[in-house]
Amino acid sequence: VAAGGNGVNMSAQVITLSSGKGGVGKTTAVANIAVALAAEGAKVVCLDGDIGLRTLDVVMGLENRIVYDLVDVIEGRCKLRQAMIRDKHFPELHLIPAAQTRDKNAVSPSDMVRVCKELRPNHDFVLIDSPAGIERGFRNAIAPADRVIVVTNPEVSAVRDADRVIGILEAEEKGKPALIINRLNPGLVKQHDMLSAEDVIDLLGITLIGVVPEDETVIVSSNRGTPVAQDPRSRAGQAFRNIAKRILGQDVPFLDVDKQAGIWDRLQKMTGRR
Amino acid sequence: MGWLMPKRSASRAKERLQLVLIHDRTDITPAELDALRSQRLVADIPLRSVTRRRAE
Repeated sequence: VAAGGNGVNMSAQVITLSSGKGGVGKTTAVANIAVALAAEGAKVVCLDGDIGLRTLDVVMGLENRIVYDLVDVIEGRCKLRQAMIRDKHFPELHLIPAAQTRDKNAVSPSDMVRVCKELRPNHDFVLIDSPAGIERGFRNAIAPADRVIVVTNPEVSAVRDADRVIGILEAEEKGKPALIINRLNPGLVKQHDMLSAEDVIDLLGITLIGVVPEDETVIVSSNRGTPVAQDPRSRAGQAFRNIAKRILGQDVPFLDVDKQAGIWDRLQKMTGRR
Repeated sequence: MGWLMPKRSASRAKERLQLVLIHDRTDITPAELDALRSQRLVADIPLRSVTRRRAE
Protein backbone atom coordinates (compact mmCIF):
# COMPACT_ATOMS: atom_id res chain seq x y z
CA VAL A 1 0.00 0.00 0.00
CA ALA A 2 1.43 3.33 -0.98
CA ALA A 3 1.42 5.98 1.69
CA GLY A 4 0.46 9.56 1.14
CA GLY A 5 -2.23 8.83 -1.37
CA ASN A 6 -3.69 11.75 -3.22
CA GLY A 7 -7.26 10.73 -2.68
CA VAL A 8 -7.61 9.09 -6.08
CA ASN A 9 -8.59 5.42 -5.97
CA MET A 10 -7.50 5.08 -2.37
CA SER A 11 -8.60 2.07 -0.40
CA ALA A 12 -7.34 1.81 3.12
CA GLN A 13 -5.85 -1.33 4.51
CA VAL A 14 -7.66 -2.20 7.75
CA ILE A 15 -5.25 -3.53 10.37
CA THR A 16 -6.45 -4.81 13.74
CA LEU A 17 -4.12 -5.16 16.71
CA SER A 18 -5.13 -7.88 19.10
CA SER A 19 -3.59 -9.89 21.93
CA GLY A 20 -6.04 -11.91 23.96
CA LYS A 21 -4.43 -10.88 27.23
CA GLY A 22 -4.90 -7.33 28.46
CA GLY A 23 -2.07 -5.00 29.36
CA VAL A 24 0.48 -6.19 26.80
CA GLY A 25 0.65 -2.80 25.08
CA LYS A 26 -1.92 -3.00 22.27
CA THR A 27 -3.15 0.56 22.68
CA THR A 28 0.41 1.90 22.92
CA ALA A 29 1.31 -0.04 19.79
CA VAL A 30 -1.73 1.29 17.86
CA ALA A 31 -0.97 4.90 18.84
CA ASN A 32 2.70 4.61 17.97
CA ILE A 33 2.30 2.75 14.71
CA ALA A 34 -0.36 5.26 13.68
CA VAL A 35 1.92 8.20 14.47
CA ALA A 36 4.83 6.55 12.66
CA LEU A 37 2.68 5.82 9.58
CA ALA A 38 1.40 9.41 9.60
CA ALA A 39 5.00 10.66 9.84
CA GLU A 40 5.70 8.65 6.67
CA GLY A 41 2.93 10.58 4.96
CA ALA A 42 0.10 8.05 5.25
CA LYS A 43 -3.50 9.03 5.91
CA VAL A 44 -4.43 7.09 9.03
CA VAL A 45 -7.53 6.63 11.18
CA CYS A 46 -7.34 4.90 14.55
CA LEU A 47 -10.47 3.24 15.82
CA ASP A 48 -10.79 2.44 19.53
CA GLY A 49 -12.65 -0.86 19.63
CA ASP A 50 -12.91 -1.14 23.39
CA ILE A 51 -16.47 0.02 24.01
CA GLY A 52 -16.90 1.04 27.64
CA LEU A 53 -13.16 1.26 28.36
CA ARG A 54 -11.90 4.15 26.27
CA THR A 55 -8.07 4.30 26.29
CA LEU A 56 -6.64 5.24 22.92
CA ASP A 57 -7.63 8.91 23.28
CA VAL A 58 -5.48 9.43 26.39
CA VAL A 59 -2.50 7.59 24.92
CA MET A 60 -2.71 9.86 21.87
CA GLY A 61 -3.30 12.94 24.06
CA LEU A 62 -6.65 13.73 22.42
CA GLU A 63 -9.03 13.18 25.36
CA ASN A 64 -10.02 16.85 25.57
CA ARG A 65 -11.22 16.99 21.99
CA ILE A 66 -13.88 14.28 22.08
CA VAL A 67 -17.41 15.32 21.17
CA TYR A 68 -18.80 12.23 19.44
CA ASP A 69 -17.75 8.59 19.57
CA LEU A 70 -18.08 5.36 17.61
CA VAL A 71 -21.48 4.50 19.07
CA ASP A 72 -22.78 7.97 18.13
CA VAL A 73 -21.76 7.21 14.53
CA ILE A 74 -23.34 3.76 14.54
CA GLU A 75 -26.58 4.98 16.10
CA GLY A 76 -26.79 7.91 13.67
CA ARG A 77 -26.36 10.80 16.12
CA CYS A 78 -23.50 12.22 14.06
CA LYS A 79 -21.74 11.80 10.75
CA LEU A 80 -18.54 9.74 10.67
CA ARG A 81 -16.50 12.85 9.93
CA GLN A 82 -17.80 14.56 13.09
CA ALA A 83 -16.47 11.74 15.31
CA MET A 84 -13.01 11.86 13.74
CA ILE A 85 -10.62 13.79 15.99
CA ARG A 86 -7.64 15.31 14.24
CA ASP A 87 -4.24 14.65 15.84
CA LYS A 88 -2.34 17.59 17.33
CA HIS A 89 0.82 16.99 15.29
CA PHE A 90 -0.26 15.14 12.16
CA PRO A 91 -3.23 16.62 10.28
CA GLU A 92 -3.71 13.37 8.32
CA LEU A 93 -4.02 11.28 11.50
CA HIS A 94 -7.44 10.91 13.12
CA LEU A 95 -8.97 9.04 16.04
CA ILE A 96 -12.49 7.69 16.35
CA PRO A 97 -12.90 7.19 20.12
CA ALA A 98 -14.79 4.40 21.83
CA ALA A 99 -17.95 5.19 23.77
CA GLN A 100 -17.23 5.33 27.47
CA THR A 101 -20.47 4.44 29.19
CA ARG A 102 -22.42 2.51 26.59
CA ASP A 103 -23.54 -1.07 26.40
CA LYS A 104 -20.90 -3.22 24.67
CA ASN A 105 -23.64 -4.74 22.51
CA ALA A 106 -24.18 -1.34 20.90
CA VAL A 107 -21.63 -2.34 18.24
CA SER A 108 -21.81 -5.39 15.98
CA PRO A 109 -19.29 -6.88 13.53
CA SER A 110 -21.39 -5.61 10.61
CA ASP A 111 -21.35 -2.08 12.10
CA MET A 112 -17.55 -2.20 12.14
CA VAL A 113 -17.45 -3.43 8.55
CA ARG A 114 -19.79 -0.58 7.54
CA VAL A 115 -17.74 2.10 9.32
CA CYS A 116 -14.50 0.82 7.78
CA LYS A 117 -16.11 0.67 4.34
CA GLU A 118 -16.91 4.36 4.70
CA LEU A 119 -13.36 5.15 5.84
CA ARG A 120 -11.53 3.12 3.18
CA PRO A 121 -11.85 5.47 0.17
CA ASN A 122 -10.18 8.43 1.89
CA HIS A 123 -7.38 6.82 3.87
CA ASP A 124 -4.32 4.62 3.57
CA PHE A 125 -4.75 2.77 6.86
CA VAL A 126 -7.44 2.12 9.44
CA LEU A 127 -5.87 0.82 12.67
CA ILE A 128 -8.27 -0.87 15.08
CA ASP A 129 -7.39 -1.28 18.75
CA SER A 130 -9.07 -4.52 19.81
CA PRO A 131 -10.20 -4.97 23.40
CA ALA A 132 -8.62 -7.75 25.45
CA GLY A 133 -10.42 -11.07 25.51
CA ILE A 134 -11.96 -13.13 22.73
CA GLU A 135 -15.57 -12.06 23.06
CA ARG A 136 -17.84 -9.56 21.30
CA GLY A 137 -15.41 -6.62 21.21
CA PHE A 138 -12.67 -8.80 19.78
CA ARG A 139 -15.05 -10.22 17.15
CA ASN A 140 -16.07 -6.67 16.24
CA ALA A 141 -12.45 -5.60 15.90
CA ILE A 142 -11.40 -8.44 13.60
CA ALA A 143 -14.54 -8.41 11.42
CA PRO A 144 -13.36 -5.66 9.00
CA ALA A 145 -9.63 -6.50 9.22
CA ASP A 146 -7.59 -7.13 6.11
CA ARG A 147 -4.69 -7.97 8.33
CA VAL A 148 -4.29 -8.72 12.03
CA ILE A 149 -1.23 -8.04 14.15
CA VAL A 150 -0.97 -9.95 17.42
CA VAL A 151 0.83 -8.14 20.23
CA THR A 152 2.38 -10.17 23.00
CA ASN A 153 4.93 -9.92 25.80
CA PRO A 154 7.66 -12.52 26.29
CA GLU A 155 5.76 -14.02 29.24
CA VAL A 156 3.98 -17.35 29.66
CA SER A 157 0.45 -15.96 30.12
CA ALA A 158 0.67 -13.46 27.25
CA VAL A 159 2.12 -16.02 24.82
CA ARG A 160 -0.56 -18.55 25.71
CA ASP A 161 -3.34 -16.04 25.07
CA ALA A 162 -1.68 -14.90 21.84
CA ASP A 163 -1.69 -18.52 20.67
CA ARG A 164 -5.40 -18.78 21.40
CA VAL A 165 -6.09 -15.62 19.37
CA ILE A 166 -3.97 -16.93 16.48
CA GLY A 167 -6.04 -20.13 16.52
CA ILE A 168 -9.31 -18.19 16.39
CA LEU A 169 -8.03 -16.00 13.55
CA GLU A 170 -7.10 -19.10 11.56
CA ALA A 171 -10.49 -20.67 12.30
CA GLU A 172 -12.12 -17.43 11.09
CA GLU A 173 -9.98 -17.62 7.94
CA LYS A 174 -8.32 -14.28 8.65
CA GLY A 175 -4.99 -15.78 7.67
CA LYS A 176 -1.85 -15.91 9.73
CA PRO A 177 -1.38 -12.71 11.70
CA ALA A 178 1.95 -10.93 12.14
CA LEU A 179 3.56 -10.72 15.56
CA ILE A 180 4.82 -7.83 17.68
CA ILE A 181 6.82 -8.83 20.75
CA ASN A 182 6.48 -5.91 23.11
CA ARG A 183 8.43 -5.06 26.27
CA LEU A 184 11.35 -7.37 25.67
CA ASN A 185 13.99 -6.83 28.33
CA PRO A 186 17.37 -7.54 26.67
CA GLY A 187 19.17 -7.88 30.03
CA LEU A 188 16.76 -10.56 31.24
CA VAL A 189 16.97 -12.38 27.90
CA LYS A 190 20.76 -12.29 28.11
CA GLN A 191 20.72 -13.88 31.56
CA HIS A 192 18.17 -16.46 30.31
CA ASP A 193 15.41 -15.22 32.60
CA MET A 194 13.08 -14.01 29.83
CA LEU A 195 11.82 -15.76 26.71
CA SER A 196 13.81 -14.51 23.74
CA ALA A 197 12.17 -13.31 20.54
CA GLU A 198 13.33 -16.56 18.94
CA ASP A 199 11.59 -18.58 21.69
CA VAL A 200 8.30 -16.72 21.16
CA ILE A 201 8.44 -17.09 17.36
CA ASP A 202 9.27 -20.76 17.77
CA LEU A 203 6.25 -21.28 20.03
CA LEU A 204 3.70 -19.26 18.06
CA GLY A 205 4.88 -20.08 14.54
CA ILE A 206 3.93 -16.76 12.93
CA THR A 207 5.95 -14.07 11.20
CA LEU A 208 7.57 -11.37 13.28
CA ILE A 209 6.92 -7.75 12.32
CA GLY A 210 8.63 -6.08 15.28
CA VAL A 211 10.33 -6.42 18.64
CA VAL A 212 9.87 -3.48 20.97
CA PRO A 213 12.33 -3.26 23.85
CA GLU A 214 11.14 -2.39 27.35
CA ASP A 215 11.75 1.34 27.58
CA GLU A 216 10.94 3.89 30.29
CA THR A 217 10.35 6.55 27.65
CA VAL A 218 7.06 4.78 26.81
CA ILE A 219 5.71 5.60 30.29
CA VAL A 220 6.96 9.19 30.11
CA SER A 221 5.39 9.66 26.68
CA SER A 222 2.15 8.10 27.86
CA ASN A 223 2.08 10.54 30.79
CA ARG A 224 2.41 13.41 28.33
CA GLY A 225 -0.03 12.00 25.78
CA THR A 226 2.65 12.08 23.09
CA PRO A 227 3.35 8.68 21.54
CA VAL A 228 6.99 7.64 21.87
CA ALA A 229 7.32 7.16 18.10
CA GLN A 230 7.73 10.95 17.98
CA ASP A 231 10.84 10.77 20.17
CA PRO A 232 13.87 10.26 17.93
CA ARG A 233 16.04 9.12 20.87
CA SER A 234 13.71 6.42 22.15
CA ARG A 235 14.59 2.83 21.27
CA ALA A 236 10.96 1.77 21.65
CA GLY A 237 10.03 4.67 19.39
CA GLN A 238 12.55 3.46 16.82
CA ALA A 239 11.08 -0.05 17.02
CA PHE A 240 7.57 1.32 16.35
CA ARG A 241 8.85 3.44 13.45
CA ASN A 242 10.44 0.31 12.00
CA ILE A 243 7.17 -1.60 12.33
CA ALA A 244 5.39 1.17 10.43
CA LYS A 245 7.98 0.97 7.66
CA ARG A 246 7.54 -2.80 7.45
CA ILE A 247 3.77 -2.30 7.18
CA LEU A 248 4.51 0.04 4.27
CA GLY A 249 6.45 -2.79 2.64
CA GLN A 250 9.95 -1.56 3.38
CA ASP A 251 12.65 -4.07 4.26
CA VAL A 252 13.94 -2.79 7.60
CA PRO A 253 16.47 -4.79 9.63
CA PHE A 254 15.40 -5.71 13.14
CA LEU A 255 16.80 -3.60 15.98
CA ASP A 256 19.80 -5.02 17.75
CA VAL A 257 17.98 -4.59 21.06
CA ASP A 258 20.42 -6.67 23.07
CA LYS A 259 23.48 -5.59 21.14
CA GLN A 260 24.25 -9.19 20.23
CA ALA A 261 24.30 -9.21 16.48
CA GLY A 262 24.55 -12.99 16.28
CA ILE A 263 21.10 -13.52 17.76
CA TRP A 264 19.48 -10.94 15.52
CA ASP A 265 21.18 -12.27 12.44
CA ARG A 266 19.69 -15.66 13.23
CA LEU A 267 16.31 -14.09 13.98
CA GLN A 268 16.24 -12.31 10.67
CA LYS A 269 17.12 -15.52 8.87
CA MET A 270 14.30 -17.30 10.72
CA THR A 271 11.77 -14.70 9.66
CA GLY A 272 12.93 -14.72 6.07
CA ARG A 273 14.02 -11.11 6.12
CA ARG A 274 17.61 -11.84 5.13
CA MET B 1 30.37 -25.37 35.09
CA GLY B 2 26.89 -25.03 33.63
CA TRP B 3 25.82 -28.31 35.23
CA LEU B 4 26.27 -26.73 38.66
CA MET B 5 23.87 -23.90 37.89
CA PRO B 6 20.12 -24.32 38.31
CA LYS B 7 18.11 -24.12 35.07
CA ARG B 8 17.24 -20.48 34.30
CA SER B 9 13.61 -19.47 34.20
CA ALA B 10 13.37 -18.77 30.46
CA SER B 11 13.87 -22.41 29.52
CA ARG B 12 11.34 -23.42 32.16
CA ALA B 13 8.88 -20.91 30.69
CA LYS B 14 9.39 -22.34 27.21
CA GLU B 15 8.94 -25.94 28.39
CA ARG B 16 5.74 -25.02 30.24
CA LEU B 17 4.41 -23.16 27.23
CA GLN B 18 5.19 -26.02 24.86
CA LEU B 19 3.10 -28.31 27.01
CA VAL B 20 0.25 -25.88 27.61
CA LEU B 21 -0.02 -24.96 23.91
CA ILE B 22 -0.29 -28.63 22.99
CA HIS B 23 -3.22 -28.91 25.38
CA ASP B 24 -4.84 -25.74 24.07
CA ARG B 25 -4.41 -26.61 20.40
CA THR B 26 -5.58 -30.20 20.63
CA ASP B 27 -8.12 -29.78 23.42
CA ILE B 28 -6.50 -32.70 25.22
CA THR B 29 -6.32 -32.24 28.98
CA PRO B 30 -2.96 -32.69 30.72
CA ALA B 31 -4.29 -35.86 32.38
CA GLU B 32 -5.39 -37.33 29.04
CA LEU B 33 -2.05 -36.47 27.49
CA ASP B 34 -0.23 -38.20 30.34
CA ALA B 35 -2.42 -41.24 29.86
CA LEU B 36 -1.60 -41.33 26.14
CA ARG B 37 2.08 -40.92 26.94
CA SER B 38 2.02 -43.77 29.42
CA GLN B 39 0.55 -46.00 26.71
CA ARG B 40 3.33 -44.78 24.36
CA LEU B 41 0.71 -43.46 21.97
CA VAL B 42 2.20 -39.98 21.97
CA ALA B 43 5.84 -39.65 21.05
CA ASP B 44 5.98 -36.06 19.89
CA ILE B 45 3.52 -33.41 18.85
CA PRO B 46 5.12 -30.84 16.56
CA LEU B 47 4.33 -27.34 17.72
CA ARG B 48 4.89 -25.68 14.38
CA SER B 49 2.50 -27.82 12.41
CA VAL B 50 1.22 -26.33 9.17
CA THR B 51 -2.44 -26.71 10.07
CA ARG B 52 -3.21 -25.60 13.58
CA ARG B 53 -6.50 -27.19 14.53
CA ARG B 54 -8.05 -26.46 17.84
CA ALA B 55 -11.42 -26.62 19.51
CA GLU B 56 -13.56 -23.52 19.27
